[in-house]
Amino acid sequence: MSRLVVDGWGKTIAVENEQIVVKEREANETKIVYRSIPSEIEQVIVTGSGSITTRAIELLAENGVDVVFIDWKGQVRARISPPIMRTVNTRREQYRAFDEPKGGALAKEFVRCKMRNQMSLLGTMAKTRRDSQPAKAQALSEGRHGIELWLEKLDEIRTASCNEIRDAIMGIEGNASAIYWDSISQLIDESFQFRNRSGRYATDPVNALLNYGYAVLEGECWKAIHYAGLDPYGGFLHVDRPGRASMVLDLMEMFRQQLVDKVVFELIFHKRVEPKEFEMENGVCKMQEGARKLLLTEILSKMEDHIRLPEKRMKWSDVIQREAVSVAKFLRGETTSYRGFWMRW
Amino acid sequence: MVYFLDELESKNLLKSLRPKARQVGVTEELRGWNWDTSPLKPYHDVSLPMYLICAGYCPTSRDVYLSKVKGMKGEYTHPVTMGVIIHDTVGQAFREAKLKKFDADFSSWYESMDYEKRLSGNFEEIRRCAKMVWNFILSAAKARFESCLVTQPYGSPEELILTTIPFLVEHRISGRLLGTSGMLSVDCFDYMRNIIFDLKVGFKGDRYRCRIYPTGYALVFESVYEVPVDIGCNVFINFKGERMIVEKDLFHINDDLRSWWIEERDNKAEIVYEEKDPGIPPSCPDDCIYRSVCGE
Ligand code: SF4
Repeated sequence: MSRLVVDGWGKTIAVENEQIVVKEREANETKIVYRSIPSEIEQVIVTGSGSITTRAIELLAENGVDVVFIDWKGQVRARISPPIMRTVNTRREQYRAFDEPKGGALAKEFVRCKMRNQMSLLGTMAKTRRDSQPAKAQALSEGRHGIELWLEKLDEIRTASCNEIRDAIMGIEGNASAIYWDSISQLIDESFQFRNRSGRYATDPVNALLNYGYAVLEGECWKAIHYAGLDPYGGFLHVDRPGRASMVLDLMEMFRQQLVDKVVFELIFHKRVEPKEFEMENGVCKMQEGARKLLLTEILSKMEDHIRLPEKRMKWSDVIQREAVSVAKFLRGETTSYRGFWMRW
Repeated sequence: MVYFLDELESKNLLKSLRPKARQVGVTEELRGWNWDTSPLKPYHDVSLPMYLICAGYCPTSRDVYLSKVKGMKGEYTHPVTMGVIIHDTVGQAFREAKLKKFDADFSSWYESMDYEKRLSGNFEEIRRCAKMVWNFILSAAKARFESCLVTQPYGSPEELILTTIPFLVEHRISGRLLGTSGMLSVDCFDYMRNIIFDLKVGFKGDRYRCRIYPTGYALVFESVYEVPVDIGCNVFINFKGERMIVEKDLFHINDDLRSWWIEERDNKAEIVYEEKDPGIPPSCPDDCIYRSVCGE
């Protein structure tokens, strides 16, 4: 199974002989640059200004392939998913859990895993710098400790419904994230002008890279949530807001560090992207084509990488899927507790 | 049978555990021979004995602080003494078996060790249990040796012993490359099947947590000998009246266990390096050897 990425102007996804093809127009000539049977495609990502025909959408949907549109700012603009395959029971339980301790337990677990992953990333980076940059290693280690102290506070929060404990959880998450990004900022060269996470509209290259990476991850998490039979909008940690896929954002929390942050930091530390590959447009920092393609390739190849879990060797994309299924099982009462995903290193 | 695997355990090893271990594999960075790079490279220049890294019976790891920073020795409680003597008994019984002294006298060896002068505990019970272990090992070793004699009539006695009792017992190895003690003693290494064994006597706690011991030893083995060690086995010996009960937990020394061990090592090394007292937890296990020190 492969992931089809269509980027750039003049490319069209269409159907020919029941196969998915990508056509590219150059001067006056149209040529086919890609061809595959739909069952071999796992997901289609349209980024930049590509287009897709209605027949291609239908054929992809018939084969359970979803299509994600991501803009240059790194936002998921649209998604086309095959019709729901799971029972409504999962969704009923999902909505019900919001007012029950079950929902609060999930919110707490998502944050706990996020913080553990932040700690492990800081710890690993500290270790690799122990000999070469001892002062930075020390700062990273201290950051890791700082998060650990907040983790203890998180554990002290009694489990109750989302509304009762969300503020407390989010407060802790905010403090831990401030420590995390502050530690990271000390490693990033001044020329990138990175101060902190700026969220939706990037004002510096690092945030532009992160936003784009998170959008790709969001697409993957959305797919996982969808196949697990969950409602992408019915989250626990993130509050409901029109158009906000809160459940997708909840699931993402556990994967941001290992799948996006790590890749972005490596690109920066190994100088594979440079500040000159970014420009400001209407107050938003924008990546040039080369940097965008490189980041996309790296994150997608990471999704295809294998990770060794205690019992299995799995692709990262399958690990995301597995977590979504575990959440659904917990909500349906098929398991009594939910343990999220985090890595020790 | 202490370190001998029975028929079901062997089937589990060959049909399930080994194929799974091959399939899942181990990440290269987590092999002991990569001791000089992150994440295995020790972060602090501190060396710790394996039991302090792995024990985990003090919820805050204050035992590490008391032992390595304050230089305090814990008390020899009855369970600790029992553990020491049973480990010694197993080691000595295997040494006798390797010399083909299958009827070696337990009493004279036990008296020669002067345990009752050095340690404290209920020696009547300990001695009775140790004798059971001694007899059991020697008779099992004798049976294995004799069955090998009948199937391999041309093997020399030395060769047959090395094949039928393929164990390095109390194998000494240095863990310095990984920030552990330079004088580690591995309870048992099965050199034919590449399995690290660890013995637990009268253990009542979390058996999964015990997997971290063979994991640590496997990493040390890999760091020194540069051969992969993928299977670990905890052997739990308990005594019930006149019977001894042996249970085994065979498992794959996977990435999760390896990184868990590294995390424990680093956390505990930090306590020692920074000389920070982690404090007393809300509750302490009854059998902690530092109870009189911590006043809990
Ligand atoms: S008595 Fe309590 S605090 Fe002290 S070492 Fe033992 S378990 Fe830890």
